[in-house]
Amino acid sequence: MDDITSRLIYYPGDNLIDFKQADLDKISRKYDVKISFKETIGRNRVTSAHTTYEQTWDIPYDQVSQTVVSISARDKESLRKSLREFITRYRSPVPIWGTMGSSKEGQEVALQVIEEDDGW
Amino acid sequence: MKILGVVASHRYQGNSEVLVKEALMGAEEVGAKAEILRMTNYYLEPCTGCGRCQSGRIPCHIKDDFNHLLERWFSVDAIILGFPCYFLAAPGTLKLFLDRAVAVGHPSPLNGKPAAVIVPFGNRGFTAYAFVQPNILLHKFGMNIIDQALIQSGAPGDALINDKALERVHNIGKAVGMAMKTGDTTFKGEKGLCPVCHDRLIHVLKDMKTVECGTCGIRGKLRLVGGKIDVLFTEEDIHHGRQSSEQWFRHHMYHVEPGKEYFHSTKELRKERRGKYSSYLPREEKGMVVEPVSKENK
Repeated sequence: MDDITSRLIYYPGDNLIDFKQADLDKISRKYDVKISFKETIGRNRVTSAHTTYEQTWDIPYDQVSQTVVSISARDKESLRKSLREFITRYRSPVPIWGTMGSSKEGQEVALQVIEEDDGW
Repeated sequence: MKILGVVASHRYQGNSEVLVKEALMGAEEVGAKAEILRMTNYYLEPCTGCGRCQSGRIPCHIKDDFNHLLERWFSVDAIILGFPCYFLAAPGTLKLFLDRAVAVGHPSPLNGKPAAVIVPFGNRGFTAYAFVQPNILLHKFGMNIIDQALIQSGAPGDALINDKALERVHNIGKAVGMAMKTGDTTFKGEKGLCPVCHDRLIHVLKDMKTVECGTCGIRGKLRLVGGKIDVLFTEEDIHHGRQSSEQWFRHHMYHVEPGKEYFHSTKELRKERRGKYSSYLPREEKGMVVEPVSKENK
């Protein structure tokens, strides 16, 4: 059976604390899921004395600064539990496309957990 | 050293105007040069959410007084904003302007400059959201609010006979004037729960464990200290709030602008489904759509 994967997109400043490999490994072991994260630094990112500016309009998705966290599990329940712990610690993605790239079931589970626990 | 008194009230010589003018007199006492702007003298259309402004890249394209109003706001060194609280919150005039302020980028010309908010209201217990809109607006511009006052003024012109209130806003004006002089723009008013907006609007999230300032978006831990409700906000929590010019800018940069590709990817599906809704209650069939009472219809 294929893994169910939730893909969470975080832009700079979105996550409540920095992603730490040790934390992710802990969640991974606890729920028997695979977690990986990939950070992209946008090539149009400029940091000045006042602010960090990045041109993000008209720039392909994957070239904007972001950290993409992928959580893969063999069953929905493990995925749900690991997502809950992960999101409690780091916060859920913000924009509507924040789970894009997930598998169909992975996206459903992620949106459910986000709606239940991280909401407004 | 210019200070602008902004009156967002339709009532001439009303409580908002009187109180803002008194505050300006206070500011002038410490050397500020005062100007007054009545928001209701300008014509503002609502924001259509078109996204063309892209947070400050170009001025708003709507043909009304908004861009001119912004120029006026941005030409000074401090703002004193006054408006009436009729129904729990700021009047629509201010909300119209706030929605359009999405067109302002970072840093705005008002970044780091002092501001104060003065709100006359009628009845006690009907002011819970009075400071929400001005806090969002002034923080969007990067301003530091140094004081905010609720002044009970039950009847039109009540403020004129409330010496204590006049003294209070006079001192607020002086404090803003001094802040312009010294550069010390720290908050001087009554401390609330939130360390950023100093309000006490605590929003409980769905997990029923986490709370956040509903205005600033900073999350914290609710606790009781000496039998009183308190929220622990760490520096890290505050850093993640949205209430600074920089954070608003970040929000547009990462949560709005990269959306172009997403919206393009769903364009065809939306187009396909829109038909069902545009053909429902067709506008041509008179009587099925509630039309405004225009001059022609009368």
